[in-house]
Amino acid sequence: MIKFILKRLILAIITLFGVSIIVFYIIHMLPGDPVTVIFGKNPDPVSMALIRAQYYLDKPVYVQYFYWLRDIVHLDFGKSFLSKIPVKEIVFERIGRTFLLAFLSMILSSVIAIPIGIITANKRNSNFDFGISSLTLFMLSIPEFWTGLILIMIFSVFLKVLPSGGYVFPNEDLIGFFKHLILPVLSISIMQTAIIIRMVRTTMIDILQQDYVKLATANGIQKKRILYLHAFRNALIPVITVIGLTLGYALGGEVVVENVFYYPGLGLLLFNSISNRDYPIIQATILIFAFLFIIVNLIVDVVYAFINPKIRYQ
Amino acid sequence: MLRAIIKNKKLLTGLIIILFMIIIAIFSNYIAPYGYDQYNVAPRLTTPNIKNIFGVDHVGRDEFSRVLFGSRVTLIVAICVALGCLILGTFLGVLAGYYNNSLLDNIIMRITDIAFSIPWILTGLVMALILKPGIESVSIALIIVYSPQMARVVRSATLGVKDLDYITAAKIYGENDFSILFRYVIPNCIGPIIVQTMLIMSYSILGEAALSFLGYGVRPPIPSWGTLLQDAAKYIWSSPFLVIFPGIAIVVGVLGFNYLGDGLRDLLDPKYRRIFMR
Repeated sequence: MIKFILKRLILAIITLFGVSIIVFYIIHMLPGDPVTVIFGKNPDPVSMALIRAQYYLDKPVYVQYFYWLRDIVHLDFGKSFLSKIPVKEIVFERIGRTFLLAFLSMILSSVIAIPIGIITANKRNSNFDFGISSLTLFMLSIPEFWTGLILIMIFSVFLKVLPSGGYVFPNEDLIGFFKHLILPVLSISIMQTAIIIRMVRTTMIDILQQDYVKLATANGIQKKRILYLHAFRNALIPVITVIGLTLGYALGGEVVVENVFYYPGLGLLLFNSISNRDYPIIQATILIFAFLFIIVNLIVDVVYAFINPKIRYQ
Repeated sequence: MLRAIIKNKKLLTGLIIILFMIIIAIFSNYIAPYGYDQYNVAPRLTTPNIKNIFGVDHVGRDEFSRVLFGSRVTLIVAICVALGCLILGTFLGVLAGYYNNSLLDNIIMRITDIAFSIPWILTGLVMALILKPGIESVSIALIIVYSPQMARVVRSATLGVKDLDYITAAKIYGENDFSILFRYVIPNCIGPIIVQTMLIMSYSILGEAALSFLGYGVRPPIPSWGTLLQDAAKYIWSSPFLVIFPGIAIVVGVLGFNYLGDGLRDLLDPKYRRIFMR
C-alpha cells in the first residue's frame, strides 16, 4: 500500500513538473513583450532594462525557469506586471470564489443526478430509462456559455428577477450575493448533472449484476432495501470518484461561464491577464488549475486503491 | 449492416443530422438568401420576420444566412481535429499499448497525464496567442487537448488485443512489429477508435464555439456559431432573439455527433463505455 501511494505520488510530482515546464515555455513563446506593454507608448530604455533585470527577463529562458521554480516552491508567484500587486494576493482573493461556484454546482448536480441515476439503473430499458438517456445526451450537447446566455435572457431580460452578472460581497448584501450565484451555478450544473447521471447508471447496472445482489434477492430481501442499502453503498466509491473528477472539469468550464457572467473568479482573471499579457498571473492561474486537478486525481486514486485491493496489486 | 443501422435509432438520428449539416455546409452559398458578410439587408437588429427568419444582426446582416455559413467553420474544425486525433492519438496509443510497461509507454502516459491536467480551455486560449487566432490555432489546440483521450482509448483497446493468438502467430511467423501493428492490432481496435472519433468531433464543436465566443477562435468576418453568440451577447438586452439560433445550431450539431457515437458504440462494441470527460 505504501509502495503504491509512493508510486502515485512520484507520478503526480512528475506530472506537475511537466506541467510547470510546459506552462513556462509556452508563456514565453507568446508574441508581445510584457515590458513594452508596461511602458506603453514612450519607452525609457534605462528603466526598461532595469525591469528586465528585476524579472530576470534578460537571462536565457531556462535560467528564468529555475529562478521562477525556486519562487513557486516558496509560493511566491511574483508581482503582476500591470498592477504591481503580488500575484499571490490577487489569485488567493479569487480562488475561493471560483471554488465556491464549482462546489455549489457539484452539490446541486449530485443531489439531482444520484437518485435519477439509481432509478434509471433499476428500471433499465424502460421508457423512463430511455427518456432520461436521451435527455442526458441532449444536456451533454449544450455548451455551458449558451446555457448562461439563455438563462440571462429568461431571468434577467424578460423576467427581471435575477442579476445578469457581477458579484456582491457576502458581508455587504448576503441575499444579493446568493442571487448573483444562482445563474452561473445553474449553467455549470446542467452538463455536470448529465455526466453524473450516466456514471451512476453504468456503475449501478454493474453492481446489480453482482452475485451478492442475486443472493440478497434470492433471500427475499425487499428490492428497495437491496437497491439503496446494499447496491448503492458499493456504488458510492466510484460515484464519488467521478464527482471528484468533474470538479476538476467544472473548474475548466468555469473560465467561459465566469466570462459570460463577469464573475470575478480565477477564470475571468486568467482571461483578462491573457489579453494584458500579464505572464506572472497567467502562469500562476494555469498552475493552480493543474495543481488542483492533479491533487484531486491523486487523492481519488489513493482512496480507490485503499478500498479496492485489485487496483493496488496490478 | 444496413438493417442494423435502420434498427439503431440513435445511429439513424445521428446520421440524418450530420448528413443534413454536411449538405448545408457544402451548399450554403446556394441555400442562404444573403451572403455572410452582406451588410444592410434590413435595418439593424430587425426582429425575425418572413424575409429574415432569424432576424438581422447589429450591422444589418441576415442572421439565418450567417448561421448557415457558420456550419462550414464548425465542420472544417471538427474534421481537422478528428483527423489529427485519429492519426496522433492512434499512433501514440498503439505504441503505448503494444510496448506495455516499457519506457516508451511510460513517457506517452505521462504526456497524456500532463495534457489531462490542464483544463482544455486554457490550452485553447494559450494556443490562440502563440499562433494567430483562427481556424488553424483552434484546430491545433483541440488536437492537443483530445489526442491524449484517443491515445488512452487506443492503448486500452490494444492491451486487450495484443496477447491474442493471432498476434502471437504473426510474431512466430516472423513479421516485424511495424507490420503487426498496422495489419493486425489497429484493424482490431477500429471499433473504439471510430466511436472516440465521433465523440471528439462533438467535443470539438463545443470547443470551437467556446473559444470563438471568447474571441480567441475564428475571427470575423468569417461567421462561426461562437462568434455569432459573442456578438449576440452584447445586444442581449435589446435583441435577445439573436442569442437563440446560433446556440440551437451548436446543440443540434453536437447532438448529431453524440448520437452517432452512441449508436456506433452499440453497433460495434457493446462492452465499450464512453470516457466521461471531454
